[in-house]
Amino acid sequence: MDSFIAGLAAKFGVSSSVRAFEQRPWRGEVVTVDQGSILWTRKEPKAPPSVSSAHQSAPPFHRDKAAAIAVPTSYLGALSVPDLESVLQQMSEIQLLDVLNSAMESGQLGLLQRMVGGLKGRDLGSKQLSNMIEVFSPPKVSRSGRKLAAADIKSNRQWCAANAAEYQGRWVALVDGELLAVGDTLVELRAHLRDKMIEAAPLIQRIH
Amino acid sequence: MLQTPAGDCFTTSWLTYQEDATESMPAAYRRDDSQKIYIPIILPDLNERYTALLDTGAPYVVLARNLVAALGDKLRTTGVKKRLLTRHGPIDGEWGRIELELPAEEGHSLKVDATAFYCDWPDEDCVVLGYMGFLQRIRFGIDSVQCRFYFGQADE
Repeated sequence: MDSFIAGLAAKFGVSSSVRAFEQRPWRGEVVTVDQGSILWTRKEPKAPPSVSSAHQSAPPFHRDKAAAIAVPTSYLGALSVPDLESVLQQMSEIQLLDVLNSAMESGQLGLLQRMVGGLKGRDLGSKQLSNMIEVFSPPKVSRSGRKLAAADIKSNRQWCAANAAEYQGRWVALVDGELLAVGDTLVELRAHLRDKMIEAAPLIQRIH
Repeated sequence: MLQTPAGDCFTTSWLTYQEDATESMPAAYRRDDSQKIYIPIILPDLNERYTALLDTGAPYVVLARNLVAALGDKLRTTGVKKRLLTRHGPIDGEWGRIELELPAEEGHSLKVDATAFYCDWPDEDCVVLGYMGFLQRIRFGIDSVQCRFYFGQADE
């Protein structure tokens, strides 16, 4: 891998280090390497029935016995989920970081999430990659035993309507229409609440 | 609670939402008088409840800077940074995860480990709940007559 990086660094006149990859001086270009590690050996996946123009124009970036570095997200975005997962499993961590960053920077959040989903179960050494997968994984949902009384919402609203003038500009904490604490700032209000050791989650708001 | 036509469970819980931004709500919610969906949301790390704007057009959860400051070291940041173009101009921030709680008036409340964008968002007190990273693993429905937000776990 080191000779592979060094070859690319020499080709593009950048520092021969992993940092050179993070800078991605070759973004958008298709780089093939005649010697070094083979990172990319996948065959061209079959085009889906409804081929988009973006897919048709995606450059053929992979070659047998050669390695491609910059994988266009337009290509990945046109793949079916199984094809995408298969492609991702064959990509190096550097390539994965590159495409995940590229999707994030271009606002392709749906693709980003699909890619993260396709990397489930893969053993990853890169902390940065693990972080991205953690962040962009779909939300996890679980049950909680907490309840919110309908009367609480209604009585808090009534309290606000009745006391708006008196507490204008101040922060209040309310539960069941009862004022638990008041402060000129959120920090001050929070300090008062800490002293009271309240179990219920009070409604926090500033009276405007 | 709500069922599918086949009689299977669709949602297990509901809460009452507000569609008008009242005087006690964050100023950013009152920039115009159009009706929206405002729901209570609990930040378990602070044990505090706020009024959140449900915005299916928003990508991910965004918290106001005063809430980000309050969460402090409880924020689960990841070092994944990004500049977003917003109506306040370009804002630098960091992606992270946050636990939020949808409190049920009837049924089960839900804890949601969501994707959030932590930044210097100037709208005080605001919590925006986007589709991606929050709603996309929740089954939900709106009863606009009774102002009820029905919800349940997607895998129930």
